[in-house]
Amino acid sequence: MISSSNNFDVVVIGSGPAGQNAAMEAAQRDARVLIIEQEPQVGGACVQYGTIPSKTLRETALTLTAFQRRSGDVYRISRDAELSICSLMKRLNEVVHAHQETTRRFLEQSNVERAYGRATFESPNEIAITKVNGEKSIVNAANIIIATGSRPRNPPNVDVDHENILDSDSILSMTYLPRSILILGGGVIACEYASTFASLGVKVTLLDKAPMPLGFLDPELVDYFVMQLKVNGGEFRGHCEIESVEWDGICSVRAKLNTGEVLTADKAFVALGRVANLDNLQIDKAGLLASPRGLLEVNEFCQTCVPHIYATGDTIGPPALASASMEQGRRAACHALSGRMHAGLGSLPAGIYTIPEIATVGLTEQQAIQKFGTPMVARVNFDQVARAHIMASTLGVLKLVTDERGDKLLGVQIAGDGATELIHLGQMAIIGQMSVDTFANATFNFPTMAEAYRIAALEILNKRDWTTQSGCSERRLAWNNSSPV
Amino acid sequence: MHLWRLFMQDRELPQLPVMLLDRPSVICRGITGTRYMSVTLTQKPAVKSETIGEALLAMQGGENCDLPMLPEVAAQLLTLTSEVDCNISDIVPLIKRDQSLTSHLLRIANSVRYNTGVTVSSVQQAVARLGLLAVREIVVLISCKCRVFDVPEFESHVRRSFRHSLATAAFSQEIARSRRVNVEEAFLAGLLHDVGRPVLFQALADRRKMHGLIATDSEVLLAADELRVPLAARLIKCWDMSERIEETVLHQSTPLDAPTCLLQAATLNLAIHLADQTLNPSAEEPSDTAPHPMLEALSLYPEQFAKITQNRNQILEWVDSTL
Repeated sequence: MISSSNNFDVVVIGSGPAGQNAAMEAAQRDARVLIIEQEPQVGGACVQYGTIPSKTLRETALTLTAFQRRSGDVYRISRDAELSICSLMKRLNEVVHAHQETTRRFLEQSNVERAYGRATFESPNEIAITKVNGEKSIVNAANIIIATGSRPRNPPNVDVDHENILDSDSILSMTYLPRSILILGGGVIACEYASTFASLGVKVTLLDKAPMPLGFLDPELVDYFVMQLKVNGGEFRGHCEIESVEWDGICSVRAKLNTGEVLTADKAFVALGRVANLDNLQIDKAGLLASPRGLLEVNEFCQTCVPHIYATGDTIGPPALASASMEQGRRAACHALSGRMHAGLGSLPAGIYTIPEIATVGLTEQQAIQKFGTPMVARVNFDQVARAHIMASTLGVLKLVTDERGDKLLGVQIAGDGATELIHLGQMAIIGQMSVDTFANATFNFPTMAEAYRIAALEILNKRDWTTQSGCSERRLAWNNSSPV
Repeated sequence: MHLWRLFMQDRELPQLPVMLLDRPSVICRGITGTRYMSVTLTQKPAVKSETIGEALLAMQGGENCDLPMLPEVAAQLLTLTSEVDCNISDIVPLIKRDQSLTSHLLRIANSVRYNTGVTVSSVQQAVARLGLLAVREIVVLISCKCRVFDVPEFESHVRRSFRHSLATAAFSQEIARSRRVNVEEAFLAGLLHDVGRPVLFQALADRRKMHGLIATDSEVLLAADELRVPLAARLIKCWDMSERIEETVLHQSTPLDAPTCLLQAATLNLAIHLADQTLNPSAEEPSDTAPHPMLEALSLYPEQFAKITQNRNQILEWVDSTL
């Protein structure tokens, strides 16, 4: 609740990952902070429609499929029609509630004040808060952090009715699993849902203009995703231009391609990017202007052209990942109150929750080639790792990218079960500017997936030795001893 | 014992939405505690609940309570299904907007005969799961076996209920779209939310003929007001529809008490209100001009609500074209 005075050091608009972190960072600096949220609960779309619900469904799907695999087919899980999204999502309310409660408690403990309503700029320092019932109040802010997130971008030639043709805000309102689904798009959201639905036995057809999905990733990792999608009965079709998508009025959706081909399925899911939520803010009254792509332009501190107004998360565009948004929120609050860069800066990891998971931090092989010419790259297939065999998760790869001397770690890319957790070891090494030797000389628990780092590091060392023609036999010995399979 | 307990002895129920006033029929919106409701008020009758109570006890199970079709829908269906090359695309829209056909189709689709291994919870799911031929077969069966309403004394009430249900379904659908709640189930909950009323009319009218039920029309109307919600929930359960629809319908007047379907029940509650306003624009309005309480529960801001109410005329046209 807003206390008596309406003057704040920092007003944060939106309570998703960026907003929460901005508010808490500001509060830790003894600022008087207000966070405005248009929904009754904190968390934003991330909690209501996005990250939390989709990952809950994915986890359930993953557990179902992994159970049979890991039990050596002793127990067979029937993926029959009895599976409905509702039953798969039974845990969702608990997960969402727990997450909202934790966030609410953190905000409360940090003395962040909260307002439930819609924010609009009255002037560069004044924000109006309008409640659902139309009641309006004005607050004054020395600094403002915009963290209003985004919503699905729906193209004009597709009528998203949220019933048969759905977007990422409505896809989980489905109460039963369709037999088949057309997924439009090749980005993170499209691929994550494609994986989940395919693993649940839905016939998935993923359609995109690009030749391959997830174009910003190392193609080698993307191959693992496409391969697994196929294993689960799905299909990726690149170079597809969609002319129209329509509900036939009876029981199926028809997508017409520009080649004249017509594809049909029970449902369609449109995941063709997202649009920043700036419409209701009246940013012009604050002296701001959206870019032609509908985003707010900011500098390295997330500062807009109006110095006391900052923008974070999906309102400033890619990478539009929750982890990046959190860092941006902290960075904005830190700069607003201290004029300095947030100390937490470093390589940000990216996690894609497909099946298998994909995670990356630092430079990819292609980026390293562009930057350094001839980087050293080591790749370890998961079937070289004992723990992967134990977990029946041998489909995967870990790539280490180093400088051309095979010394400094530049990037790590992983595809496979547990990739989004495993990546953090690489992230810490990059932040700590560790040499690859550290991984080769370290002793990890055995058996663990972290062994993959050591095996990859030894491969780099071997390459380095072969390059320098020294210590070759010693390294090879170490390599052979470390190989558990 | 309250009449409704006869139907719902096996579960906890919210208080029923009945208000008794000594004045003839008016429509009014009442808010008491967590109850937000629209209800037709009837003149308080001389209670002969024992007689009606006996009749209700006899139909307690709900299994024998069928929802007959309106004569014109039955005629339309017969015409369509009698054609050799009858087109399912003509039949499906007719099924979707008729509560009787929908309930029959879903009931049969969920029966052992057509067991799909999943609770079929919408017409399009039934068509997708069973296939067009099976649906056509079911529809022919329904057209042959389903009764037509025979309640001359309550015909206007039955028609009003069907009309109101259709408008409620349409508004539920629009609210659900706006709030990203499942649209198919919202439509179905709206369509079936008042299904207890016509079923009760038919059942009590039948008992009048067959068993000489002594009950005045006012008593039957009052019983329908009092029992329509629990009976609708009971019927939905008997018809093997999803538990969510049952819970939503049961909490149509007490949405904030719905244990797992608060948003769905709030959607239905608001849709009922909008249907009332649309179908009875001259009805007596409450003196307060406060926004409907479900707007806050659904977090519907003025412009989102305005988008929904903009569809009023379209919905009215659609209802009129159907009934």
